[in-house]
Amino acid sequence: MHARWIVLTRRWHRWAALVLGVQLVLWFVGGLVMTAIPIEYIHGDHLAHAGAHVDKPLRPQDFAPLRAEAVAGALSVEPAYVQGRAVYRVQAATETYLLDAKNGSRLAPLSAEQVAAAARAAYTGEAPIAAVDRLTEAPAEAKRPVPLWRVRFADALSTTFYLAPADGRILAKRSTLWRAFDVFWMLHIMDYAERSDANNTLLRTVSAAGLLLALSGLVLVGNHYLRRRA
Amino acid sequence: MSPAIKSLHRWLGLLVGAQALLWLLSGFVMALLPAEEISGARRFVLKAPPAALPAVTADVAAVLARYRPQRLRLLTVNGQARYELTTGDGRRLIDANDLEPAPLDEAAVRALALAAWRGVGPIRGLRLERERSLENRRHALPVWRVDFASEAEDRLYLDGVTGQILGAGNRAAELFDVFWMLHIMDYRARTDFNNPLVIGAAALAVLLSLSGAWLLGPVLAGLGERVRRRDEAPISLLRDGTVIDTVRARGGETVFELAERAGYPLPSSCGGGGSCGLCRVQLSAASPVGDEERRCLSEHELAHGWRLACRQPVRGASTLALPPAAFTRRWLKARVVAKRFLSPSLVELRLRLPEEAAFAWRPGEHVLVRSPAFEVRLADLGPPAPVRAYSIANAGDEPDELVLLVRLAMSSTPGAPLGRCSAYLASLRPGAALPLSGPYGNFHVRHGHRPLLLLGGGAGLGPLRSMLRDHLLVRGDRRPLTLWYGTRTAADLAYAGEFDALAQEHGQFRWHTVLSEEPADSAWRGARGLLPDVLASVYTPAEWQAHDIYLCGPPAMVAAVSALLHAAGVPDEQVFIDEFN
Repeated sequence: MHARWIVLTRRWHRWAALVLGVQLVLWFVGGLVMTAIPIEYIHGDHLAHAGAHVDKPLRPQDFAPLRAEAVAGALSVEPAYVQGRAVYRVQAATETYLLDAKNGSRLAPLSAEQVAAAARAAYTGEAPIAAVDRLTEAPAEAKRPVPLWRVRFADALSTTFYLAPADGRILAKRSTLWRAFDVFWMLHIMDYAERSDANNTLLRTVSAAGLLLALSGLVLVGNHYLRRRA
Repeated sequence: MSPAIKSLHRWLGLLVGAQALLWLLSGFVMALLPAEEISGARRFVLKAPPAALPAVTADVAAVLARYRPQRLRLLTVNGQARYELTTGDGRRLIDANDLEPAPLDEAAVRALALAAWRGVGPIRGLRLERERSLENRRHALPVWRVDFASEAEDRLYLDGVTGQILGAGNRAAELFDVFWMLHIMDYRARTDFNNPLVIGAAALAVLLSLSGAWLLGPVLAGLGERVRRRDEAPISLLRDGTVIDTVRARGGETVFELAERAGYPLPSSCGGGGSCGLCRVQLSAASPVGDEERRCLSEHELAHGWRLACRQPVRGASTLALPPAAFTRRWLKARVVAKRFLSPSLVELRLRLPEEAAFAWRPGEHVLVRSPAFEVRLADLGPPAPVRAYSIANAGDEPDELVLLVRLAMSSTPGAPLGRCSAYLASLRPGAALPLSGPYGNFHVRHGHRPLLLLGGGAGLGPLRSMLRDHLLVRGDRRPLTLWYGTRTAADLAYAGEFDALAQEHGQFRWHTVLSEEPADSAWRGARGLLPDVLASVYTPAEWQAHDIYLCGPPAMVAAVSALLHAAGVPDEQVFIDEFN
């Protein structure tokens, strides 16, 4: 390539790097962090016992017939045991609730103590529970139906479980690892508000310019190694 | 520090540059493809609320007793109440009224798929997939795949048991998937972004970007400089001491950039990167010296203010002497008219330039020659070095031709290949084209009154021949001129007959040869030994000081003679050096 073009390429490489440099470092560092930490740790699979939700065998004598009016408007019904008690878990349009499997009466939601016990039983760590809160608004880190229980453990990773109020099922597991991943993901897709829109104009523009930056870098490297000095 | 970082940056660029490019390309493409197109949400209702259960009395105990499932769920499938039961054998659908198996049939799947379809086109085909494939990898098996005859090749995935809508696909999603694969570097399953390949590449890319950031330090400093010193004094550009242009420098600009901006680009094959060493200019001897300059220039050149223009900020200078190279930027196509071996290791190439080139050179100057990398045999391709400098070996008495001396660069290792460029030039035949540019250089005879001493070795004979022919044949200068030429053996002697004839015709010219490796029993009657040693025994300091001295040859010889002249107290302004690498 003509030296004039190399001059222009080098100039573009420098200026583009000056403008895009911070974002490129963030992309690469974020990429490294997000790939180097196994996704299972991000998901928090190690924080809760794998078998926490496997029910014991369903015994026919525990479940009385379910009358139609008891589940009017429901979307689905599932027989299950919750904290040793046979129940029907009813999924309705806006909520999930439990019916007593013997008499069909609707059960009250779990108490804070019952939720804490459920979280405690699933938790693989040793740390004590730091706080148990009932949320009526879903937090940004766990967009789940409300109301919702949040149980925080006093461990190094700030482990947090989100549990369903009806039966204490774990709906989401969060830890510092997940939160760091989320921040890097935000920086990666450059959607600083919702952290979910990977089609935003900023990302499109900066990645296109970054593409040209990488291309110019390759041209310069190629020029260097193919046309060494006399 | 900085050259090491730069070299690291380059090596990393070589290692992961291509992947960085792929990351940015795939990232860009994925950012471009709209998420609602990829998900299929544009032409499918993917998240319809499930239907409410029809009125049914559910005798759960009977189902449990009959089928002994691990899990059981009562739900609506295509308007009918059904149990989905999970046993060790998988999942099944049971009629909620008669408790008999009621698997989903094709007609029901078709109805469910059409209910979700908002696009244009009929169903093209549907099938139940029980095998894992790249495309159904995100869904639990078995899975129904329903293809639509639409422009985007839409397809819908439904749960193989319950008919629940799982997701959609189309051509754009397939494209997205390929770029996703390139992005996470899992070329088989396209799912595992924790694989060692991508982690290793990302780690190298981090180093690449950090080393790049480090290199931006001086650029930022230059930017600060540019802001601080917006109004620079005008700089006069000189050609041979005459002001030809005036240009206002920009703060933080390098001499290379200034010359380029002013329309007098300096020679460069690296584009101002400090690695090719071609953009040399003569500045104040007090100018700072960088690592790249120490590598590309000799001590002597540095002491005389020679610097690389691309390393030198324009700072406080009011004039800038442009080298002749700044005025000859074109590549000319020369043709080989003759080639002959002067000795086993020295080739004389005679070139003709295009007539419109108006090529004029001062004796001692050189040209850059480009040996096209792709005409070299494929097997020879390593890191090629296609641009090299060759001194012009003839003078203005032959204005239409250029003579270059090509010394076959032989390694001291037996069997090692010849230097790439010299081998290429030696292989050229009359008629062959050779791109060259020039003339360049600052090694030429200055006006004066002192007698001249030309000292040279190896291919350094070329520029000295040009000088002496110019002296004798073109200008008819009466000043005494003596040539000392050092080479290895009598067989390496070149132009001996020509020089003898010139010496007979022109009384002011004398010449001597010193042979370093001539066998002791040969017929050679002249001086033997290394040229510097012989010279030391011939001239007294007073004699040295009485001459203008032009020195041209390999580094070791130049260094030894320089030391000799220095010891003899010859002023620097009487010594002119062209060192051959």
